[in-house]
Amino acid sequence: MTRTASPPPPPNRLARAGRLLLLALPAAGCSDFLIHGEDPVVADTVAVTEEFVQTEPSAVDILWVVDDTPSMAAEQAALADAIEGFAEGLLDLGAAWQVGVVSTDISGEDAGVLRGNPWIITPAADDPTAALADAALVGTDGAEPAGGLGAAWLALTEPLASGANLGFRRPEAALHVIVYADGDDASEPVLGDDPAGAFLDFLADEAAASGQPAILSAIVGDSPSGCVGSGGTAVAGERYLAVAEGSGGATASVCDPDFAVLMDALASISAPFPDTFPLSAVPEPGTVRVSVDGERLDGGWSLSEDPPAVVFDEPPPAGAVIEVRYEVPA
Amino acid sequence: MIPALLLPLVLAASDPLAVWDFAEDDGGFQPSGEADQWEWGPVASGPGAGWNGEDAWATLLDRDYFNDGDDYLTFPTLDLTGASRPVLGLAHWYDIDEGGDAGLVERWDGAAWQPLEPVYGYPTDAGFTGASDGWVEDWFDLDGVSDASLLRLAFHADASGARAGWYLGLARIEDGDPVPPLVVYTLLPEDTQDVEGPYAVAARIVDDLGAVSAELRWSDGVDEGTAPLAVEADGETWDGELDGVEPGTELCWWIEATDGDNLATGETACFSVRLPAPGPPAVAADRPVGAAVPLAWEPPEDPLYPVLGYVVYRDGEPVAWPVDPEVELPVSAERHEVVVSAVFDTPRGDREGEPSEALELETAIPAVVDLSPAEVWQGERVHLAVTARYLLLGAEGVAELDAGEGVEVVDTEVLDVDRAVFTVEVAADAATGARALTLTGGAGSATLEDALTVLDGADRPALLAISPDAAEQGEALTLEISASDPPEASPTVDLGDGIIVGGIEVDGATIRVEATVEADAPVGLHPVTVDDGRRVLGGVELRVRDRAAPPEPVCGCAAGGSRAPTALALLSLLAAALAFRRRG
Repeated sequence: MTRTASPPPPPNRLARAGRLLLLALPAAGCSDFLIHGEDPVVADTVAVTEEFVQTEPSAVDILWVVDDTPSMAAEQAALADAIEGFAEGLLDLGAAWQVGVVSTDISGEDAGVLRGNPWIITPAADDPTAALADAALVGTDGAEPAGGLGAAWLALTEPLASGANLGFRRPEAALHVIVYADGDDASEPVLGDDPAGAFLDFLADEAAASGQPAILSAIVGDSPSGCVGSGGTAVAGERYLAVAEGSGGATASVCDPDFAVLMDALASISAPFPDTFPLSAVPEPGTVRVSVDGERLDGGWSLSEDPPAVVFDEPPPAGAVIEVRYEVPA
Repeated sequence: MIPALLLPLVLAASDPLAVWDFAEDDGGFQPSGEADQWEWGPVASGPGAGWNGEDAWATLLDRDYFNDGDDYLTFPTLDLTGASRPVLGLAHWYDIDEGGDAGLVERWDGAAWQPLEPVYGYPTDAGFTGASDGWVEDWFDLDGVSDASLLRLAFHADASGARAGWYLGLARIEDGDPVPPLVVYTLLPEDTQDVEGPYAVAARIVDDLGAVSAELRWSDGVDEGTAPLAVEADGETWDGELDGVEPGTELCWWIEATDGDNLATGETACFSVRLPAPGPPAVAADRPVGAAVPLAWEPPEDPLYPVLGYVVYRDGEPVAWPVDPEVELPVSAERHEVVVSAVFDTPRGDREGEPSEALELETAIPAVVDLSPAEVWQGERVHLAVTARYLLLGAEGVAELDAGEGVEVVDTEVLDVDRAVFTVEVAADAATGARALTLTGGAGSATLEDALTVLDGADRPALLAISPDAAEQGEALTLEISASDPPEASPTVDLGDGIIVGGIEVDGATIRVEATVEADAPVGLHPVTVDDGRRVLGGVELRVRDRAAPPEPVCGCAAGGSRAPTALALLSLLAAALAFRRRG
């Protein structure tokens, strides 16, 4: 016997567990029901229980921005070794992800152009892990100034968005920019006097347009004094850190990163899970009860009426079972 | 002195009177002068060795010569009075500062030392100066010289600038005509686009007795031939012409001249007749993706003849003949070498010019790499999961699938640039058999031949039965649906408008569905579909009846239509619900 989920099959759709329990509620003064040999029941309201399983995150576009200044040789090698964990984390998530890599160059014909072949790495690539590791080795002959924010902006906007990077940024996908650098951003030539502010505005615009999160994570030198460690030496990446904090991304030290943990965490936050669970019918007012993994929630969610859906303030975690009980007119 | 027969320069037109190669001794030559810098012995500077072994005479054997002095090397005594036509030959090497240093051969005229002019002349009025670029041979007419001891080499160095110096590797005196003509080209054709010709050549042929005849010879690498030369009134200048050749030819030529005794062959000179190449092709796109890559190039610079068009070579094979300097190059591999040549309207006809520099073109070839399922049945609805490469599915909103007539795409879901799921309906009369599938994305299209096979609909998987096959508005019930084949994955069930599907259980080819018929669900037949993510099975219907006009009740009904819940009915429903919870 197989217990099934409904309706998951289209691959990146929300997996929705298919248990809907119906209880006939005797209504005062009305008792319309028939028995037709089996056991059908007719009542004025029907209690409906819908179950969902949080299994499949949203699509996400992940842009790695790797510093290609001469001091980055050791750091790049370390990244190429460790990025396998990141790729495997993504594969485990099952999201419809796309990954691209650019350098921190903001001048020259390759500025903002996705590296490697394939330059848009997806789960369908022959060897996604190898492709990503290869693309991450962007070289160490980058031009000054190095501007990770500017390079990301170039990669994600016109003319590259519909040119050399065509197809990377999807209109309804989340965006996660990950900067890996041992210097701070110097994107003024591209983003103006306030690159951090400009990039946060850009991320906000992306989030608004896609309806999905748009964040930046920074693996850079520690604030405020930089760092020296097994991973190398870095100055403080203040601007990157500010954008990471402002956008809700993660931060880590480029000097001594715990790559195993870091990459898995980066992969996890790259793919946001859905926060909205559509209901099959419009509930009677005041009848909705929500529980996650058996624990009833009196807050942290709201009811959207058209179409009917339960919307969580924070998406339930992967594997969570969401149960929604409500009543509908019979 | 050594026997003349051992020397490489042995000419039958003269008799050797004396030969000094300085291999074993200094030949009896006498150095003198202010700086005392003529030395005999192993050569460690300049040419690094003698002309015929290690030893030679030199203005210092192991370093640059001294500045500010005049030094001489006088020949030994040799009576020349019996010779009918004595001629001095020198094999020498020099690298002398042209700023004021020089070497001369001098003869004593009874009153003073006088310069002796070489048959071929000194390189400058000052004498031998500058660099000889290797060992060279010069000849001097000794008419009137009664003894070799009246000859000397005179080397003058001013106060500044010193180089390696002057090296004497061999000296000899012949009686007769040992001097071959010297051929010096004065007009050499340069590389040209001109395929008509003729190409004029000219040379000055110098000989102490005057050249007798000369011939112009040529070779184009395949054929060889000769052309006539005509001598001008001065007796030294010879003119000739070479005929026009096909473009792409390197034409080499040389002049052979003889004074009757000695044959001289001028250096081989070559020039090319080539029609110019266009500029190297370049990719006229941000990124070369697709089955055809746009290329463009600059036309040839300053062509002599009109350009008619171009030939585009891919890996050495001509594949396109555009008129303008651009092309959509079809690509068939991830790497190609591409060159372009222009075609010119020449007097010889249409001729192809030189190839451009090669473009090492790396392309991303769009391809359909996977399709699942690869077999469909007539009359079914199926989700085709397609994996592609470099097609950029969804880019600019483009994700299309064409599987030919009778297969219609009704829904498209793009997962990423490489993957999409197309829901298609296969017509009941769609042609059976294998067919090609063409996938189009933002980067172009790719076709996979024989990708999809349409099978006879008689064998199509389908739903066989539903029980019960009817329900009433407002009714909650469990439906049991029988399929011809078990679902391949967790299915969804669609019972039509107004019927909420709840729990679904799969037991082999049987699907049990908890359903609620809403009070206002449309009355009539509801087609039932089961979608396992791969195929959408249909074939049965659920009838929804108006609860106000029920069929005959079976039991538990009060007469006259007044209905009230019975304990039995409620217990049955609760039992069913609890049983389902336990299974779940």
